[in-house]
Amino acid sequence: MRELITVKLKTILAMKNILGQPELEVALAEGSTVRDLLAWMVNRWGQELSEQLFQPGTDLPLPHLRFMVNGRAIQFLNGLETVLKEGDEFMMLPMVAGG
Amino acid sequence: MYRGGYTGKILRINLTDQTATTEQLPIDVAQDFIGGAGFGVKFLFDELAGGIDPLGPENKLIFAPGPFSGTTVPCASRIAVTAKSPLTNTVGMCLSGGHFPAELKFAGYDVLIVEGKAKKPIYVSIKDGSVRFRDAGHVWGTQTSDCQQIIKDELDDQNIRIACIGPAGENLSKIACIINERRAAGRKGLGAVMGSKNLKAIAVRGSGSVEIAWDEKFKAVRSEMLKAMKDSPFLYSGMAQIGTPTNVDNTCALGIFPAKNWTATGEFTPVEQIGVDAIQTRKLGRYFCYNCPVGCSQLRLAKSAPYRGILAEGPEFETLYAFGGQTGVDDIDSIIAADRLSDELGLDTISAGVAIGFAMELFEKGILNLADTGGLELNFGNHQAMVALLKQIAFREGLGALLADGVKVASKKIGRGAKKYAMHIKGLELPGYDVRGAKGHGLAYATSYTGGDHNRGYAFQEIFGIPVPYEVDRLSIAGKGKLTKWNQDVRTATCDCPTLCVFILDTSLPAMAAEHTSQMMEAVTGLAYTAEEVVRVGERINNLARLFNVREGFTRADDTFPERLMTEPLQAGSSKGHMISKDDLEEMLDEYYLARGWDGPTGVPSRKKLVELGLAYAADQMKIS
Repeated sequence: MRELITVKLKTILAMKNILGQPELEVALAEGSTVRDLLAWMVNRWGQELSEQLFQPGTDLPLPHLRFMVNGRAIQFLNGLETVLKEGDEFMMLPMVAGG
Repeated sequence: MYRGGYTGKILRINLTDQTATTEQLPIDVAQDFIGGAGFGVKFLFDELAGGIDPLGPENKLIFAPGPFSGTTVPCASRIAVTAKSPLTNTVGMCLSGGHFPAELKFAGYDVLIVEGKAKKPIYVSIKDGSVRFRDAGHVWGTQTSDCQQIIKDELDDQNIRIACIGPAGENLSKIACIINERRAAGRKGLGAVMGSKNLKAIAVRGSGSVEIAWDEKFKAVRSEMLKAMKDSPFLYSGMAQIGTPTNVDNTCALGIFPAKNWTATGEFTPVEQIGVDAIQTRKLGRYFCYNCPVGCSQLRLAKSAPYRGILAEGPEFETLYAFGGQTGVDDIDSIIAADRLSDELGLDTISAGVAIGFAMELFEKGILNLADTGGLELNFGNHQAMVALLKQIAFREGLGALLADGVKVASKKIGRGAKKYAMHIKGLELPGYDVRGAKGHGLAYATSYTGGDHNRGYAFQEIFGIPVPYEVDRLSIAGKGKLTKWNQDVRTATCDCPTLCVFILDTSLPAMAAEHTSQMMEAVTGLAYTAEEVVRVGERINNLARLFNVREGFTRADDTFPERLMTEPLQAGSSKGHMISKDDLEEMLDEYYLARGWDGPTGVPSRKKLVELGLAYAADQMKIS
């Protein structure tokens, strides 16, 4: 039995509305990766969230989505295989523009 | 011989002797500089002597739409307004949308150059080939919407397009802007340049049209562009419905929405109060620039007292930062009111908000007291004081007289350590991204030819995560020199010159911007470019603008940040712990100058680079060997 860790989940705009709040804490098994967390979220929030995350019929994230752990894009960590730690903040940002 | 896009004519207006002359636009200038900002920088460098007073008659105000303006290229009614900036003493260039840019083309002109100074307030009326100088005594002192309506009535033409200044420009506030309809050529104090010339307004009406060189090719390229826009995951669903305020939610999440004069970034994140959900409750409608199918600009109505009933076109993201985050104000209706008031008074919302936030920090630190503020309790978050101070700035009253010249000048006059709290680069107040968490964007601020400007090299890779030309770690300094050169040159050549709204580049064309511009330029104008040659135009303009600034005495030492960004790490949020140390900045600058082919120690473009760009004449003039 693995220990549980707590990870803070943050998002904005349409995904915030699906999650019902901009921030929440979730408990995951120690050693969970970003991929595991995404799978957990799809299980929790279903098709509505899945459509915001993945290209249709695949488990490939939509190209304009940004996933970050502690503020750093996961491409500069270990991608979807980035292992989450106790107290990490995982952020999902959809495309926006305008400044 | 121009086939399309260009009218081929420059209108030169001299206010001193009230003459108007028409000149031919040399085709090699069109080929090398495209239009818009390119023409502005080219004519400013060539026609101004170094060291002139930006508020003297020697300064020139150059209005230049691009070759796409006035055609059916979507989202292309943009105009670059260029002068020597009284705020920064650098090139002052900014762009505005609306209908005025296209109308100037319909009147027959690619460029309008305003010279000299009128003896008394006047406005200029341009109707095709007819130019009239009219007394403006009766509109001097009016707000910008009243001014435009009075002139429309007087000229008996409700569809005439007008660019004008408000009281701030008349009073030579160095943070005054130029307004057309409610669109602003907002930054760098260009409204003061217009005011210094006693020029209240320019009214334009044209009956012509803009030719297209190759119709069939144009239809094909335009069709591809419209498809890219339709396929964008954000343009019509987000930008058209909400506009730029989505960036409040985005930058707050990234921990880079600057707050309380950049002391509380990541801590004060008023998404619920002034972010998308809040501002959409004030939405009343949309505004469309000429031939724009998007309509990103939102009309919003304040609902609560004492601002109830005030309508603004906006506030845009930058204004939500300036009158929201920067001042610690989270009252959405006061921001709507301040936005509208700025448009009416002719003030740059960014510089005005930064100046007010600066004064608030000084007040909270005891550097300013109630005697200095005329009794205003200038604490962060006091929206009534913010609105009151905004009026004082425009009329140079009370503390506003100090802030009217921007935070750099104000901090020197105040003394007592105020300089440390003045958030500007080269005198230009900083826009709404705390670059301690977006380091390439920071380098663009430091090296922009206009001072601290988010639009001259916007790092969309860092702010929006767009992986073009490659993915970028916003929190790292590695590779940011080359990236900044790319962002500056591509954005200049594909948006600031042809001209095209930057939001189309960001949402729909990021991976094909230069290729698209080369194809569209050939279709519209008949002038042929490869994608590489398009980018080279951007490089040419950034080099010539740099030379203008070198001529004004700017060096590498001026490519820097306010001390706070280099010594105070962010204390909270998703960029916590980050800053850009002096060493980090120097490392980025070394890489940037190397990528640009500029001399490392001085930041001066090399002769080799200038010759390569066809700017040998400028190197000769500057005695660069």
